[in-house]
Amino acid sequence: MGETSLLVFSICMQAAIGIMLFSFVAQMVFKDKQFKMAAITAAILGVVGVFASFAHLGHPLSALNVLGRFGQSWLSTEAVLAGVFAGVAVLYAALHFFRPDDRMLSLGLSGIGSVLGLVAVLSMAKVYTTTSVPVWQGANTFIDFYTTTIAIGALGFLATSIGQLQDVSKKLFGYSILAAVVIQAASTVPHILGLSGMGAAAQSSIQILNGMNTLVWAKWLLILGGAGIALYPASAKVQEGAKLNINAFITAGAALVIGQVIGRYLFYAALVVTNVGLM
Amino acid sequence: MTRLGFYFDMTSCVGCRTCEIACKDKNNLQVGIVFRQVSTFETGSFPNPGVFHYSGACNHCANPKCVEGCPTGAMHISDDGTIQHDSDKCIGCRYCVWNCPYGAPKFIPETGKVAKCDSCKDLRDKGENPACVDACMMRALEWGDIDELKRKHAGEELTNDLPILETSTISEPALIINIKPVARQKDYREKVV
Repeated sequence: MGETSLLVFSICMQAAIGIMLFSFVAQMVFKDKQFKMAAITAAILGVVGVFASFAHLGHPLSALNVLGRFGQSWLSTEAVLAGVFAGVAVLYAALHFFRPDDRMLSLGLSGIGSVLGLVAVLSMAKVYTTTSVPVWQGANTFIDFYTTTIAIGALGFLATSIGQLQDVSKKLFGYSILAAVVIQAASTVPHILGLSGMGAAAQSSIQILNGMNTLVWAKWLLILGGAGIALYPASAKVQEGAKLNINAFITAGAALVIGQVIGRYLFYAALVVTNVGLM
Repeated sequence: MTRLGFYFDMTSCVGCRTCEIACKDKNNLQVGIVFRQVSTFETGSFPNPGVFHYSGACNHCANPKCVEGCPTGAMHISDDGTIQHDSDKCIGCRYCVWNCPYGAPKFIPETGKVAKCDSCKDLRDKGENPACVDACMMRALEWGDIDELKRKHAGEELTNDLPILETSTISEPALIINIKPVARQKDYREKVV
């Protein structure tokens, strides 16, 4: 499969955007706390994502050519927004080293980063839904991208900020993860049913996915299982002095991330363009 | 503005693939890369079997998805209305390859960029025909103003919609086909030669 760099780009970028979003939410809810590790993780993932997107290009040194069609081409818009988001994520991380007490700036940067990131996810989904690849068309791609952002983002934020969250309720994050993966799983059913009534390219995509049945099952087991495991410690009652089950978060995080990576692999593996004559 | 495009006479095409080879030769394309390709399809079954060939290339659409999606403007509509590709602007993202419903743009690994049928613009600028048109021994291909070609072939069963192709409303291809009746059947099977 030749789309590995896009897999890395989309997963890293969506994880970074999700972590930024939950950092912003957590700062609003827990006003006296800082989330340095989450900010650093979002910055690293954002930068890795941008470099991965360069690796997909035949001519990465000419990548700045995409600036010219911002707002006209979804791919150009996505590239610019992802780049700007990564820049904001790096600034947000740097803030924790150089001006750690500036709460307003911290809120401002994470807020701007979250909005930019959510629009970037929209443009990422549009990049795929507007192609001639039937398996990518429709609402499922939007739902998949946003739910991945929420699920990995919330779990990534929990995993990197567990030290600061020992004594507060984590239900918001646990239920966000669960809701995201349930919606993600539920949207797959109408998507596959819709594909079965489409043309030859859609049928070829279904055949590819049927041939990867084991991976499809592994994906859902890991995603739903990971969300279930995360929910247990995240929804537990907060008791003073009680130790958090960090192993459960690590297991849940690993399962969820591996499941989402398999899901994204299947997304690209099912690529069949609608065309005849020129294969 | 005049719209330039191809006329393809499916009723006289014998599937010899001379157009494909002439294009490959003209553009010096490596193994595995074609800008024009002939596909053969079978329909029906005994005692009513059918066969038809389709010679496909860039259809120089009025609403080109490749141009719409291109993030750099490398894929563009030129002054004569045909779809041209500016290699200097191309970054090799392959997005046009995913966008074109006819599979016209091809990624060339050696150059790291995309290339496609330019309707032999260099030959046309000298007043000649595209290489595929002149190579066809059955005279099944023609190039010119689509409206003039329609007038010239009035009385034939002309269309640019086939069950094997995406609907023409997506990108409005500058293509007219004199269709064989069996090509309207939906039970087509591609015969890989």
